[in-house]
Amino acid sequence: MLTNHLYPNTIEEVFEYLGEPNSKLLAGGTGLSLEKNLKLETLIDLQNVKLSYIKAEGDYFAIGAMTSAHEIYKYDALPDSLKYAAYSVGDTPIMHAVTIGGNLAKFYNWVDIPPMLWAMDASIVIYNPKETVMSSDEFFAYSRKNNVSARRELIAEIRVPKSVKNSFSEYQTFMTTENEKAQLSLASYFEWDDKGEIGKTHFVLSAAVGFPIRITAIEDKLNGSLLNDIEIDELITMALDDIKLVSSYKSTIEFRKHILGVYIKRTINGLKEKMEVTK
Amino acid sequence: MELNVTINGEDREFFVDPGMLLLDFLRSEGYLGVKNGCSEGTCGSCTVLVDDKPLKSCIMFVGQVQNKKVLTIEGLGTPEKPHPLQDEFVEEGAVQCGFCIPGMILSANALLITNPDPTEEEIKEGLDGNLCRCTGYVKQIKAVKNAAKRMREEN
Ligand code: FES
Ligand code: FES
Repeated sequence: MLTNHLYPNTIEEVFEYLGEPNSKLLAGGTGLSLEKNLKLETLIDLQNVKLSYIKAEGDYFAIGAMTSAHEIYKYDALPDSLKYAAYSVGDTPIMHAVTIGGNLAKFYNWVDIPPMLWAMDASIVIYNPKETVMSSDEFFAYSRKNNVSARRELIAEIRVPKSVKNSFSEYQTFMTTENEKAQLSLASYFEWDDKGEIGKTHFVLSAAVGFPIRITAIEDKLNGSLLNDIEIDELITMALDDIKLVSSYKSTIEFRKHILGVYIKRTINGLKEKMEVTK
Repeated sequence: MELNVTINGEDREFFVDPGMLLLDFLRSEGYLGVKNGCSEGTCGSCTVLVDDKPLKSCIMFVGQVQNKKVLTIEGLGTPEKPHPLQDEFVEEGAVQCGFCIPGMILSANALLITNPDPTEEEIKEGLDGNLCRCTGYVKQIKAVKNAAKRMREEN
């Protein structure tokens, strides 16, 4: 039974309070308030820990973990793909409530912001209570084993690399109505050199899989290639051979495969267009 | 736990159960304009403004409004002197059963606080998350547009 709601002011205080039995960190509350966790006794509310900010720092944006999806969506200088992922989180009041840190900690497989962060290779600053900076690959591998909210750790900041000249990123998500959970989402990021050779490719698939994954088979195929040498249909076949989709009562595996194919095609066409513009 | 909160402009102090949801707390204190439609963050009928931001009170713990400013529909206008949004909703015939209207008007009010001259798209985005089972939204959008115009003229 919940008997305590605490308000630490600093990260040090957060860790003092995490010593309380059956305690949990509270960010926006949208997930926790719906949980019927009879074991929970203490809420450690992060609202007074100064973690709500977006700052441009050198070659990255530092986003405090308590920054809301709405603030990300409305922050002009952030990449459009990330803003769209934040917009996809839900309706306006939900965007005001959901935080980027909460989204990373409470890892539902349909969440929108984390796959985009992974595609963009964001770094995650975690305290446990020692500060650790993890790359996305490290963070997602680590979270796959156990979500952060079950660990005695605090996600404090997310560092999103600023877009470089020859780059393209995109977030696509499929829902049949606006306020339902995503059925399939694809986040992507690319970089290329002045000759048009692709140097970096990230495809992160979520919602239609148990846990977000990178589609490495098509990343490997694209890296080091010129886009004109790539057959889109071949890429789609490779992606579908590489991953195992799961079904839901809303859509079959066959249907999801089709959507994934469409999204890969759109991504490659969007990339082609961007490469033409930046030539 | 002790809760200090400003509700509709009035500084209040309560002793509350930390496991209570904000929606249940507000209704138990007589703010019955906060409606319970779905209890899971979908319909928007429980929307209140917390520090001028629209939030769904059914998916918040009561302690999340510690030292904050909460606005419910009871704090917006009076029967004698309704808020322009309330007037325009009536004027446009934008209300049928009325269940969604407190949340709808509060969301519209949050929008007009930050954006006194919204486009139709911005109004749709501002009202997003408030589901109405009776009307087709057209009149509500029009009512917000009219209220915004009136408020700009009055200021
Ligand atoms: S009752 Fe809160 S959103 Fe429906
Ligand atoms: S007027 Fe009936 S739900 Fe909106």
